[in-house]
Amino acid sequence: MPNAPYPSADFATALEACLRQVASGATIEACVARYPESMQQALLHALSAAQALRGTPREPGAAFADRLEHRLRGAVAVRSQRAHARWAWLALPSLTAWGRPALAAALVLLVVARTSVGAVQASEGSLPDSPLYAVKTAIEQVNVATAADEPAKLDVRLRQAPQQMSDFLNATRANRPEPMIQRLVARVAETLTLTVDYAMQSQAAGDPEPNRRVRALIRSLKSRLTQATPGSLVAQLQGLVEEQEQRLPALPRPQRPATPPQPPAARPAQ
Amino acid sequence: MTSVDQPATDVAQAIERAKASDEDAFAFLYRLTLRGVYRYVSVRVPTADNAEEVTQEVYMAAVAGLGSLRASNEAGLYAWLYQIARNKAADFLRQRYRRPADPLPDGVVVADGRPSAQDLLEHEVEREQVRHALQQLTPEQREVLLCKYVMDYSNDQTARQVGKNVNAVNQLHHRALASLARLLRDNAYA
Repeated sequence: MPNAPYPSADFATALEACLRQVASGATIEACVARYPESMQQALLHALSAAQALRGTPREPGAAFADRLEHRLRGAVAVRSQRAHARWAWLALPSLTAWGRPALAAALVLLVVARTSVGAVQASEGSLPDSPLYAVKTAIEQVNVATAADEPAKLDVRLRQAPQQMSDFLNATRANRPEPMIQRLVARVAETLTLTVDYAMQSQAAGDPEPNRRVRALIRSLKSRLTQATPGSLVAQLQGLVEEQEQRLPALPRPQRPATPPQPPAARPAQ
Repeated sequence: MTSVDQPATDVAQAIERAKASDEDAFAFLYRLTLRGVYRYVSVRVPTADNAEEVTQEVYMAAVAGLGSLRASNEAGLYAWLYQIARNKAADFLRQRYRRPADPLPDGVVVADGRPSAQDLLEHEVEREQVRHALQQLTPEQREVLLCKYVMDYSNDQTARQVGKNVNAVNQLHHRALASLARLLRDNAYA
């Protein structure tokens, strides 16, 4: 590691003065010329290094800045949804395997009673600007929260993700306002993130099956996105889906069946 | 970079709102700090593409770690972001040393009235020499030079960022500049 000898106090004073002057627009040569010859060479090198350093940083491009802002807004929206999901979990008591389906039934009945059977069915295709959308998201949360265990939660989320993608595509086709579509992007990304989290944990524990299933889901989501009208929000969701795909660990190679050793091939007669 | 004159209350409020997942508040803080963070990262990594990649990682990590943000003003926000940027740039360089170097660009397209290809190439070479020389300094020397010449910090701000008093920072600064000059000179003759 290089360590230049510490410059003398005179040199340090001269250097500080020159740095100030150069920053104000003076030339390096003009500043250096005011000091004794014995100091000039070292000053010249130090000031040139400072100038070179000042010229090194790049500036961010406007297109990059916009693109990243768009992406960050999506990430903040996902964070927000996660926080809400976390609170929803805290609101539910710890239940036994029997208690969960019972609670699910009770909650769904409650939702149904407060609306109507027709309303629940109608809510399936609703978008965030519809009053029925709240019914749909409530049912989604209840389904996840009341799943018996983590594999069951994965099953639920694997069913929910395509429906959430449909909502996104419908809203895009219908030219709904961008903030609304952003919410739908965040919803798909949130569900996908949770499935990928679980697939990673399962594979680390020796079970690659969830990884295979999540990969199949991602393939299907990507295929549907390719059929969507191109646009910045579609590109954003594509980016988020690919990001999650990259998080997935590689699948283990299928083991080849052991083959019995083959006898050496007989040499052809000379 | 602290050149943006933003009222302290705006920043403090935006930080609180961003921590509560307010998109607009986070976008405001992002716009406020992007130039400084990008400039810092661009001095540590070789290409503009790399700088964009690492800057994106910095802000994505910032979103994920908003809960751990304790700052309540602009200086604290920058200190937090630079800490993330320093780690992300170091991670990037470690990974880069483990993989083959990126291919060189095929050529430089230059529009009329812009710097010539020769100028651009020379500037890129000089940029790479400075970056290479910076890598050879001690972490403290490098940090002081980046604070002073890339982030445009005053001596006081630099002292706070590196956790030393102003006199120590001055000594470190002069020694670092002398070392950088010698490295640039040696590399030029190498």
